[in-house]
Amino acid sequence: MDTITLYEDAAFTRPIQIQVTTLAAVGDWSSGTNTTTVVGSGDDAITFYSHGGTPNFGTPFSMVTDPEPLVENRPASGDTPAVTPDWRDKILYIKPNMQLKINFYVDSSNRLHTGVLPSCAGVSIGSTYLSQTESANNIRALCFGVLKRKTVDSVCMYIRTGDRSCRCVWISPNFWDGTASVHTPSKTRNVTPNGYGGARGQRNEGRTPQTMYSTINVLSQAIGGRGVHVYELQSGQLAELYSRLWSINPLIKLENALLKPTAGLLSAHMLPISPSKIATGHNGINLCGVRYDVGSATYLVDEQMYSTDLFVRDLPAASGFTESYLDYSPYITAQLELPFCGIVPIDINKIMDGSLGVKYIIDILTGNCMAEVYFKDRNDPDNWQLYSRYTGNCAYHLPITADESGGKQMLGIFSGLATVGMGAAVGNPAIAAGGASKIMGASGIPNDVGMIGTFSQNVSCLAGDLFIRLHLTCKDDLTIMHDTDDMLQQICGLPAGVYGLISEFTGYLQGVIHEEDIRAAVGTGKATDEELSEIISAFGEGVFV
Amino acid sequence: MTIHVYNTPTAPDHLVKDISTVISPSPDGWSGAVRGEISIEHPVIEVEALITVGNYCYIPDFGRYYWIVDKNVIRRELTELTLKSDPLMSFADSIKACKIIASRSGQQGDLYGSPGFNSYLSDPMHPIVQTTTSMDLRGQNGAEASLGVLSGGAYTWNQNPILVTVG
Repeated sequence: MDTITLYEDAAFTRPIQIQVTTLAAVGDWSSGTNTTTVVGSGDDAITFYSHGGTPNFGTPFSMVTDPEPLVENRPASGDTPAVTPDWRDKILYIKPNMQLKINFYVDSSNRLHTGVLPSCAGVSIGSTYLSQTESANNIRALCFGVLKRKTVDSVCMYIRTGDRSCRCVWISPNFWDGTASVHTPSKTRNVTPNGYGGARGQRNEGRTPQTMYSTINVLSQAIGGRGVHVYELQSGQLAELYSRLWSINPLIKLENALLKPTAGLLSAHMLPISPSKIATGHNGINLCGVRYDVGSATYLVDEQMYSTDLFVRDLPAASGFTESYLDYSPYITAQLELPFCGIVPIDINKIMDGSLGVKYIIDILTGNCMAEVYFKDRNDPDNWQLYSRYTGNCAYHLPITADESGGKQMLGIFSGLATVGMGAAVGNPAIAAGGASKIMGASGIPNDVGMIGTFSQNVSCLAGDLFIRLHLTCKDDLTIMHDTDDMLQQICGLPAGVYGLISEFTGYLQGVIHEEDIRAAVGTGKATDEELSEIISAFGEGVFV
Repeated sequence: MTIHVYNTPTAPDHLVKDISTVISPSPDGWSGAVRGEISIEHPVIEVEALITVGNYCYIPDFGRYYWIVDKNVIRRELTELTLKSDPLMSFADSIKACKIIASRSGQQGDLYGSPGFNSYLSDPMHPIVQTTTSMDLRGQNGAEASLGVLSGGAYTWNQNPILVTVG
């Protein structure tokens, strides 16, 4: 059984894992009917509703159980879920360890059919009443589970379309907003992890689904409009764009001069990560109101903020450490290598015998990145605590240029040639020394060459392998003193700082005995003062007991 | 008085000595006598025997164990022993019932009350050297902690540039 990890908090530090059955990865399904299973678990039977055979609530999903047949029962009065007041369907019981096979459909255009068909359950794919779909290209993860709500247990499909969003599509019952006759994906509620019971058999009473994430995402508001577009160029598209910007076609040269395409280019940069994106549906890049064809399907970045997993290192004292004072400051110093943010010191006392976690948040628009460092204290091993945040920038800017001269460089060369008295037929720019000033601007970039980007780069982009690492400088025992087992401990013991009866100790013992204690123990008059002093002195220097 | 002579291999800084090697006749020991006044801590005893071995003894009448620090053979069956009391062995049982504030111990303590050394206290007697080690962080399912894109088994930069445009 596979898992999907969701988080209780917007900082993504408290994960919840839902045990569900999933397909391994996007693309593991093929056109046509696919099958996955949900296995019941927990102490209670999981109750869900089926749409089978109901007009008006058709579904592209069908379900069968294995090994036991479905048990049908109509909801009694008062049991009708509030979410579907027109409910007519059946209650089906799936018992623990019973397998439920769910069939879902992906059409030849690689669209996963997710919504309600206003037709009967014998779905007619391709009909005029085609169900709502989700392009499989946009789906990052797909899984099935059981959503337990106050009165209804539902088998649901969870679609993860971005790093931080996860939509829940109820297979049974399908979401109904009470107003429209046709279900639309946009009306599908985002469900918080707290709303999930999954296969753990836990109930959540009366929780209202809420948007799962709260973060900056201006891109989702700008997409499709006339404002800012953020594309992830695919292989060959930059070359296609360049061929358009530096076309030798005189008409295109003139168009470039008039439209100044670089004015519409705000930034071109490389990022180490691959952002979430959606297909534009065409092959173009929009620049200043003009669509430049780049020869293949283009993609818009749909989530401005990219966040990584929480990368973790546990530091159990019993594993590879001495389990002594040598495991703590100042005997160990720790440094955390954070790509683009630097190498930062870490207080080893906070993470020793605990855990260290690092998560990156990257702004696709600017390349600004923030490394959030968390730790788990050994005395509170269940909760991540924020240690600190470190900032940097991971964008490597690409200078992009365009010929915006309209071909007038040639005119400039000719006029330069005329200045030095050369014939207009001579077209070699190298000769037109007198015309050089008309070609090159003061910055060294030709005057009529549009350019964005910079030659000044983040030096941190030069660092190699982009790995997050923890470096420890430790002080270890010299093994020379340990040529036999615990020799140092046997010969002269180790620091104790405890109080107890001498009979409780074995081996080397050094410490302080109070005179009144030894007098009371030995008995009055039984030992001379000199003998008592000798006993006290002997333990002060160390005695083997 | 009776004296029992032993040969002990145990060092003086041990609480209990090994007296399994008995020199004097067992179980009665040898007969000894004192001449004049003696110190109970540093007695000189004449023993009716030729004693050439043995470094430890017990005198029941004094209730003490002694180190034999010197032996003088007076005549064939008479040896003068110069003794020094060993209060550790002599009062071992009482000492064990005494309390101590232990600064160092060869026994490891634990959380359940057994006293002993605490490895988390720094020890100036410990010679130490410096080493450096690097540790990887891991993501879900053991994924390596890299910001790059996994391609061909290695993490690289995303080769697809980001283009921000207007209009």
